[in-house]
Amino acid sequence: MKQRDFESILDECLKAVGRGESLDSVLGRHPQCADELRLLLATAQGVRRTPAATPRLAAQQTGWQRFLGQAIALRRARQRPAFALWWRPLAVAASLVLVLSVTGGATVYAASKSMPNDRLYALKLATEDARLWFAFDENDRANILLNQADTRLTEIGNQFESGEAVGDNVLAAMRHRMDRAADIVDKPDAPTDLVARAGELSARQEQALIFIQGEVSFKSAPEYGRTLAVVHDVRLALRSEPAEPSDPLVLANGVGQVIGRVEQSDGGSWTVGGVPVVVNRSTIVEGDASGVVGKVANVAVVRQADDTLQALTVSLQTQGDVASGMRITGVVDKVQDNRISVGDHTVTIDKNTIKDGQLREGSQVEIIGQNSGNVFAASFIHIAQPEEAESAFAYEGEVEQVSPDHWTVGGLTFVVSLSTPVDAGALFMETGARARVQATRQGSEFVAQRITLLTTEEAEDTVAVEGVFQGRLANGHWLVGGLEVDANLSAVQLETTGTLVRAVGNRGAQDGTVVAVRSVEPLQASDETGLVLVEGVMTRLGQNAWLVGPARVQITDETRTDGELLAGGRALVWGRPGPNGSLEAVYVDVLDTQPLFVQDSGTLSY
Amino acid sequence: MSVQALSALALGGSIRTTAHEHEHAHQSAQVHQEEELVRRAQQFDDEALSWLYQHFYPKLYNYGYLQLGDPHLAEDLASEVLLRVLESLQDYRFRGLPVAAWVFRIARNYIIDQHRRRQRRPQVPLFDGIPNADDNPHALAERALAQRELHLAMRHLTEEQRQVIILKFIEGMDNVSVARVVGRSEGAVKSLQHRALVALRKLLSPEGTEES
Repeated sequence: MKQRDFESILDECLKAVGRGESLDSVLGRHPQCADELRLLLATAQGVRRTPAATPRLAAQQTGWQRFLGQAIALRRARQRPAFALWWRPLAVAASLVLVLSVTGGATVYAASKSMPNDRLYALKLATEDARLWFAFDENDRANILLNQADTRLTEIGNQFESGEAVGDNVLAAMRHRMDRAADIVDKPDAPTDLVARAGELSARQEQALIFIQGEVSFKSAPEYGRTLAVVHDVRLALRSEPAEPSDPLVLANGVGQVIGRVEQSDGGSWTVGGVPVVVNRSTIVEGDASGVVGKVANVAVVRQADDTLQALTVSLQTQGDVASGMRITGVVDKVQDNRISVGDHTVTIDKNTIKDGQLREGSQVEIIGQNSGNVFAASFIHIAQPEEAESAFAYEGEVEQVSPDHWTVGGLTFVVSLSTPVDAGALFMETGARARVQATRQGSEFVAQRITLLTTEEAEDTVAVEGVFQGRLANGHWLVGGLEVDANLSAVQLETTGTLVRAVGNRGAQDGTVVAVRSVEPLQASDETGLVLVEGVMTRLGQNAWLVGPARVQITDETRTDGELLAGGRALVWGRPGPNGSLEAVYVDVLDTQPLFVQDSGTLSY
Repeated sequence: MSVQALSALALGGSIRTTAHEHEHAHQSAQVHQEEELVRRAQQFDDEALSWLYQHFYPKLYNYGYLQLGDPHLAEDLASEVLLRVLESLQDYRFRGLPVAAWVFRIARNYIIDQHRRRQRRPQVPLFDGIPNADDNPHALAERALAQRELHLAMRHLTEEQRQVIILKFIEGMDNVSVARVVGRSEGAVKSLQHRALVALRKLLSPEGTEES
């Protein structure tokens, strides 16, 4: 047989085997060279079955950001694509009429209860679309669309609460509905209440989308970017100021947070807490925008293709704002239908509150919300998992190195991302500053959850760690919140595991530890509950009475303080319920040695 | 709609199709769908760009890993090639071949460039794969062994033979597309395929492994 003939036979046999034909059947057609073919076909099958090497997710995501950045740069040279395609749901609705005529109402009823990962969810969406056919008044249609978009937001919250990844389908459905509602609401003759409702809903959606970004899968990132862009653009459109639509590809990378004093504002170039940000026609500025320099701003930022940070939303704050919109951390003492008790706080929960787990008595929670009268209205609640509580700690030290992926603070390297909030206070973000990093240990890495720059002065090598004492290791070191610390120099030796402690020491890289403990403050005994952590700006109410963030704080003879209490500066307060609804401070960590705001006693309304 | 679903649609009308016709219809549907996606990617449609990246990144990584034997170099290859694809997207003209033929031609050129550079500045190849956190250690070890064995065997093939083996048996490309990537005729591809399989049979058999 000629060589060329054999190569063709081999090729034909490889194709047949590749299509699924059995080896014997294929070889049966070529008995004269079956032996040789068998070996080569088996070799080819062996190669086909070699498992594929799989790339690391982190590398794939980094590459994706570069790819997106390049795509944005190239696209900017061309015309922008059409802004929205909202006609697709009409096609789905048209097909629903067929479904209804064939299946009847039972399936549709079942679908109405379905959730985004259910088989019948598409039918639920199509049923909703069909309802719009019978709304002949434009404003009625807009109201229905806003109701439906609100339902999508609730579904997103439910998925988040049950630990499911937020899927493309529910994001896209929310986007389509907001987009279509905006077409109606954006008209000059739209009723004021409808405009106000669209504004309120889009603001809530934007806040929620930023909060849940960590639960959006890599695959759903493009849809996440498109949805956030539409929601933000609805907000922009309702402000009746010249605006440019947001770029979904940029938003798909996620949103970060920078908090700090506005150092400089030169046209569209602002510096907030040392971080340069671009403020342009895609930015929403909330608060009094006159004379911004010197004010404290909370900025939601996105990273553009050229690595600059573009401000999505700038919230300019007054002292009263900071006092009302804050975070509290603590253990849930009591759970009722629509409220929980955390320390001395009554926290209200409504359908708009987004939680990432089930609330139970004893759960460790972090709550972001607004203080309203005597209650704290929760917007977001993070419920720590038991293992997370054990491996969580706060660490203070000098900032040694800053990069987009890592920060080194007091000898410890933390993984950061664009979405890690950085609260610069009145400081400039640079190496040499002191920082407090709230972090969790994930495998061998420390992942920063929040970074707060401190103005307190300490010796360069002084570091502090706050966390739960988990026990003593064989070498005599302690394990605090997953971090190994050398306690040989400590006068106090901890015995009871589960105690929440703050250990202050020197940076000493001996035996693999980073903290050589000098002193230790037990903050909370293992069997004690009700201690709450409040972070905020201090306002003096009386000789020993302060307002810190949302809480009225009482300083007693037992209170241990680190730094001098200062009106207008920030502080972290660990405390327990005291008389008259105040928080009896156990420990106060003063974060600033200079006020963030110029004191204005007339603005207090607490 | 998935390629399978497109194929199912294309095949819906003819029940008595042969396996060959079935395969051809499947390929046509796939090529048609890819043409549409590339057309949208050329307009910078973000959904199409996302498809381009997510579809090809893992394939390019595997392609790079099998030839370079180093996960970091394979990651660089996947990223760099996709950037080149993006940059030359506007010049791409559809010629009835799968998009993969164009993408892997760029990837092959990248590898040839890398080989030239590595000859000037030799590097030590690494075999320590970077495990994903959710990998089971046993499965990880078996997979790494199989990948390493194939990579080592392929180092004994010529560059063209390696391309044919990876593109045909790992990526599942047809002869026309492989010919386009390596710049040879279909007949030459069949010949390269034969010689590569003969060489691999010797290298991957127990005796061959000892010899190598």
